[in-house]
Amino acid sequence: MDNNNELEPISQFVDGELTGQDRLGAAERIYKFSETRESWIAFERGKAALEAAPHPMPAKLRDRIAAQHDSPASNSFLDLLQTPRMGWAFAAASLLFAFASHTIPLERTSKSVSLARLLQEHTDATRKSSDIGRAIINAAPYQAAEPFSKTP
Amino acid sequence: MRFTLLLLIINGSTLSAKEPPALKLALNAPLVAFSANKLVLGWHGDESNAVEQRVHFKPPNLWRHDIVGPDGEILKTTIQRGPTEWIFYPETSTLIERDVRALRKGTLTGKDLRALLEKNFKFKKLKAKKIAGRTASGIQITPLAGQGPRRTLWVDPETGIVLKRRQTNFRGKQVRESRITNLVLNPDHEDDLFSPEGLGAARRDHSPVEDRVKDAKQLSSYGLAGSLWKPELPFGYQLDAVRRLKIENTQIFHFRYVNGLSVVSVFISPIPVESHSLEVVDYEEEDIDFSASAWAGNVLTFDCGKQHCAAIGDLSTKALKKISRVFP
Repeated sequence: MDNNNELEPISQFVDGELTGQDRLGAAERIYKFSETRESWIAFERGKAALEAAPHPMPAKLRDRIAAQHDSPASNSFLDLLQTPRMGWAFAAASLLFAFASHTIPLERTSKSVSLARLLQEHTDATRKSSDIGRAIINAAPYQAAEPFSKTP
Repeated sequence: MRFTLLLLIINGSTLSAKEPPALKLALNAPLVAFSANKLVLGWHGDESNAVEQRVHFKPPNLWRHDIVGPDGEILKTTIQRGPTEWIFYPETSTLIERDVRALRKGTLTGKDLRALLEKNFKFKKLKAKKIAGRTASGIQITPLAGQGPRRTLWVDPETGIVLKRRQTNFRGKQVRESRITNLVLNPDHEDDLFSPEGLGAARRDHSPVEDRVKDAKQLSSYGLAGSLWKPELPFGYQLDAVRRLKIENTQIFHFRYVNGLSVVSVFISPIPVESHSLEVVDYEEEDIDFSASAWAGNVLTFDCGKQHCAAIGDLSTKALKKISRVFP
């Protein structure tokens, strides 16, 4: 599975496009795999930034983008890059992005703690706390020599 | 006549601060072996999801939960033998063993939790109803302080099996419901049903041991003000455990408070906590107990002295603000 195929369900999850078992499967992967969790955080941050944008998109621009998106005969993104003007523009944008990536640090990695991680710790610790209930309090003493200790 | 009527009203009142017998049953392990299918429904805003579990129990303390995927495949298996827990992920064929007591490292016992439940909540007896062919007694548990989640249980008084649970968040919205859909009493359980050996794991692992902070003095030795050690919070929450975590190379302290039904976490960090809100984090399965809820309904970030704090719990922002004021 390539990277895009892995990211797409996470993007759909963030956008609320998944329902039922698909949504549950995505949530399970976010919970279990740290890389998927990082992608989820990145999408959430992107979504939050878009929602925090001060001005809504002008109606004319939105219509124009929608018209381009709906047009079945439009060229693909890669076709556009093959034209000299777009090719140079893309190269310039890539250089600018590379420069920005090295000079502007990502906020969370150096200046703040991930709230998602704290939520995970809260949930996990809560589970452990609740485990002392029904059967555990009646439990026989823990025996390290139980079958599991026969590690291969 | 009026006095008699008043007495009748008092005696007939369904509200009581005392633990009803059905609740006592629900707080102990079931009395008989059983196998069941369980449907767990969760609500996130306008959306909902459903997860099927297969639950097996053998007295006094053997549990097995299989989380079933959409095509009937098992996504995860949890086996509990007293305080020992094995978690198996078939996808990666990984088995994790943990001693729940060692991992939790809390100071509150089951007895303490019951005392908190009785102190902080009121109980209302509900009309009995039929669930999975059994007659279930219903109890509604509501916080006396009016803050936090509510829980409703339907318990089989003959077997002690909790047949249905419903959880309401601090806003009064239903967020979770589980119910037994198919119940078999005293089944012939296979010998290896409660054994991790039968799972055929390729990889085995142990959960990492967590670092617990014992008291205010030890907290000071880590460079934090001892005054941040708060044994109690408003709304009946009591300090259960303080853990020292390392998150992204930063030393974070996690204070866990319990009130008998739900948990409030206070995290103390030297660097700020992301302030924007994220979707509620929940897990797909359901614990065998109900005395602590993992529902993280709300988050409040605030400054506490030179540190940065975050309070997480199923409480209103007003209630979390009241909690935040406890920290200097």
